Amino acid sequence: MTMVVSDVESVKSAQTAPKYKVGIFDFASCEGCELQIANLEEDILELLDTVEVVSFREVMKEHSDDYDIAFIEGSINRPVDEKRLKEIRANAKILIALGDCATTGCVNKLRNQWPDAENLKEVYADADIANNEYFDVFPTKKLNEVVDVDFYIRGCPVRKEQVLYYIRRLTTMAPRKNLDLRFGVTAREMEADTRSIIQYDPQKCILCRHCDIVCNEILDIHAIGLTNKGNESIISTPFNKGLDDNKCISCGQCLVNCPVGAFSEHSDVEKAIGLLDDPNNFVVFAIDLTAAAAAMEVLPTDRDDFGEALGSLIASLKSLGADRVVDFTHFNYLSLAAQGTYVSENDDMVFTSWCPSANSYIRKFHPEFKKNLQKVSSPEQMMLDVLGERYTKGEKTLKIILLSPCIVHKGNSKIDAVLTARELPRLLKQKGVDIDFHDPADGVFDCELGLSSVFVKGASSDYAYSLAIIQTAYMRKFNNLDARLAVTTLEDYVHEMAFDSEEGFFNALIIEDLAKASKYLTKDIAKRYNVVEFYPCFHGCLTGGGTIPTTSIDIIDQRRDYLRNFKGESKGPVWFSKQIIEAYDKQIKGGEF
Amino acid sequence: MEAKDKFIIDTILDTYSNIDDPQLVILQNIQEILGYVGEEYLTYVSENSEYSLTELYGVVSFYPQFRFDPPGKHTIKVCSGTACHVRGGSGIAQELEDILEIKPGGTTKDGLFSLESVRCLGCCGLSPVIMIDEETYGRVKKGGLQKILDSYKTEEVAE
Repeated sequence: MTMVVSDVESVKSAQTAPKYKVGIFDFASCEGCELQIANLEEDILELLDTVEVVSFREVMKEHSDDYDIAFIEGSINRPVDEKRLKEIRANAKILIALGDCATTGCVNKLRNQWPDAENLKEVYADADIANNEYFDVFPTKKLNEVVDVDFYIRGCPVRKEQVLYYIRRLTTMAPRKNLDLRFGVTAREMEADTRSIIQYDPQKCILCRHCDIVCNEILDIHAIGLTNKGNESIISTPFNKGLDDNKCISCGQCLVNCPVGAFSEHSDVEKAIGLLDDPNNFVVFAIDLTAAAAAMEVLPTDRDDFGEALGSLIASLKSLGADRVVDFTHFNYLSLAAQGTYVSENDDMVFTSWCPSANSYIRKFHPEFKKNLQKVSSPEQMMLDVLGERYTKGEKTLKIILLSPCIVHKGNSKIDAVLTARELPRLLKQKGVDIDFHDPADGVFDCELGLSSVFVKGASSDYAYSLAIIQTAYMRKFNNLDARLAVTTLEDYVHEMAFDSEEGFFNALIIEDLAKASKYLTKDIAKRYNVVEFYPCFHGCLTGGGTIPTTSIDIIDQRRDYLRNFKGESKGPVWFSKQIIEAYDKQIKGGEF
Repeated sequence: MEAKDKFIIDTILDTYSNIDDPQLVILQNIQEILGYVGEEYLTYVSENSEYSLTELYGVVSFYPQFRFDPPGKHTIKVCSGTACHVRGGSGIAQELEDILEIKPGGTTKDGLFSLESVRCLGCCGLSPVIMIDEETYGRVKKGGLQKILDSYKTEEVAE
C-alpha cells in the first residue's frame, strides 16, 4: 500500500490548488470500514485530485494532526479513547462517523448488558491487567455520546462508493449539519424482482424490515425475509423462488408498509390508458369506494368534500373515454345477499370473506377447509356477470377497469385492468387531466341496479359485512330479525356473533388478526359456526394493499368518515337486508336493471 | 427426500429439542452430517420445528459456512483475508468463478469442484493463496489457475 502514499506525494507536487486534508481514524472496530476506503483502488487516484490523506493508520506510516475532515470508525470504550476523540474533534472542521460502530455502537454495545468487571473476567480470566490503561474500560459509547458528529455514514461495513460520494460532495458543496448520509447512491447493482404482481427493487430498499416483520411476525405468513448479509442483504423469498411459487397470499401489506417504495405493484396504468384510448372498446370503470376514500389523500384536487371530489373524478374519467363509471359497492351488496342466501339454505360452514388473499390463505395453509370456501359469487364475479349481461349487446368490446383497495385483484385475468389508489393519480397525470376542472354535478355513477346506496355502519372492517351476511340469512329464512344478537369477544381481535331465537340460530366467527386464524381453524370449527370471516389487512380494506400507506388511526377514521358522509348510514338492519335481497332476486331472475 | 435423510434430521431435531433456540446448532449438524443444507432439508426442518422457511433461509444465507448444494469432490478455498486481498486475491476469486462458472458456495455441474471463500489461511507470506482440499497453492497468478485445475481433471481421468 506504499503506492498510495507515493501517489499522494506525486499528486501534491503536481497540483498547486489547496486540497482538503483528510484524516482517517479508528477506535474499537474491525477496521472493515477503513478497508473499504483502502479498497477504492483506482478511484482513489481521482479522489486524490481533491483531497490529501494526512493520516490513515491502516495503510500509511505518516501522520499529521493538520486535517479538515476526519472519518472515524469504531466505538469509544476507554478514557484514552475519549481523550483522543476530543482532540480529533478539536482539530477537525468536519467529523464523520464511519460505519455502524461509530454511528450506533453496533456489536460493541452488546457487552453493555453485563458489568465491565464481569466482561474483563470472562475474557482475560486471571491475567494481570490492573492499572493498565489499555484495559481501563467503561461501557461502550457511540461517537455522538462523546463529541458532536457532523455526518453519519451507516453500514457494516460502509459501502465504498458511499464514502467516495460523500468525500466528493463535501469537497465541492457546502455541507449541511447532522445529515444522515444513507441515501443518494445506487451502489448496489442488483436487479429488481418483477416476477409477480408485487415487485421488489433492492436499489431502493433500506432494509428497515417493516415488510419482514409484517409478513413473519404479525401476519405469520412467512413469504419473505431478510437474506444474505452486509452489502448483499436483500428481502427475498426462500431460495429466491419468487412470490408466486411461495406462501405469499398477495395481501400487499409488505407494500403498504414499505416507507421507500422498494415494494411496489405491477402497474396497470399504461394498460388502462390503452383501453380508454381504443375507440373499439366499451370501457366500464368500476370504483371501489374504499379505494377512492384512500385516494383522496393523493388525488390532485383542492376539493375537501369526498362527494364533490368523487363527482369530479367520475366526470374526468368519462372525459378520458370511460363509457360507464359504476360503484363497486353494488356488487358487494349483491354478494352479501348471495352469501346470506347460501347460509340460510345450507348447513355447511362457509368462509365468507371476499378477500382473494384470505381465500388464498385457506388454500395454502389450511387446504383441509378448501371445501368450505364460499361457493357463491364474489363481488368481482357479480361485477363481471352484471356488466357482462348489460354491456355486451353493442358492437364494441366490453373492457373493465377496476379501482381497487387491493392489489390481489391484479391477479384476476378476467378484469382487464386493476388500478390501486396509488396508480389513479398517475393515470390522471399521464393524461394531463385536472379533475377540479370538471363540475362535480356532471359526475354520477351509472348502473344503479335499484340498490340502496348506503354505507354499512363501520363497513370494510369491524365485522360489519359478516353481520350483514347472517342478518340477511336470518331475514331470508324467517322474514324478520326478531332474534337476540349476542357479540362475544373471545380474545383481542377475535369475536363470536350469534343470532338466536326459537325460530333458529345463525352464528359467525370473525378473526381480525390473521396470526390467530390457525388457532381457531380446527376440526370442530365447521360444526360450530355458519360463517367464518377473516382478512389479512388490519382495518379491513381501508388499509388494503392497494391503498395509500398509513399507520395513523386518524387517517383510517377519516377514510371511514368519507364513506359514511357520502352515502349515509343504513336505516336499520331489517331495511337494509330487505333492500339487498330484493335487488339480488331481481338480478338472479334476470330482471331489468 | 430419502427416508435415511429424514431419519437423520428427525434425530437431530430430537437431540436438541431441550435446549433454548437450537436453530443454528440444528443447521450446523445437518451440514456436518449431510454435507449441505439444501432446500428439501430446510423445508423439512421448517415443517417439523418452530422455525419458518424464511427464517432458516435467512440464517443459512447469512453465514458463509453453510452451503446450499452438495459439496464437489474437491473443495477450492480462496483466501479473501487482508494480505491476499491486497495482493490480488479478489482477482483470483473472480477468475475461478469465471472458469468454473459458479459463485462461492456453489458446485460445478460435473460435481468435481466446489468453491469457498475463506478468511485468512495463515500463510500470508504466500499471498495470494488458494487451497484445494489439503493442498496449498501460494503466489498464484490468474493465468496459472487453469493449469492447476486441469491437474485435478487429469487425475480424475486417470482414475
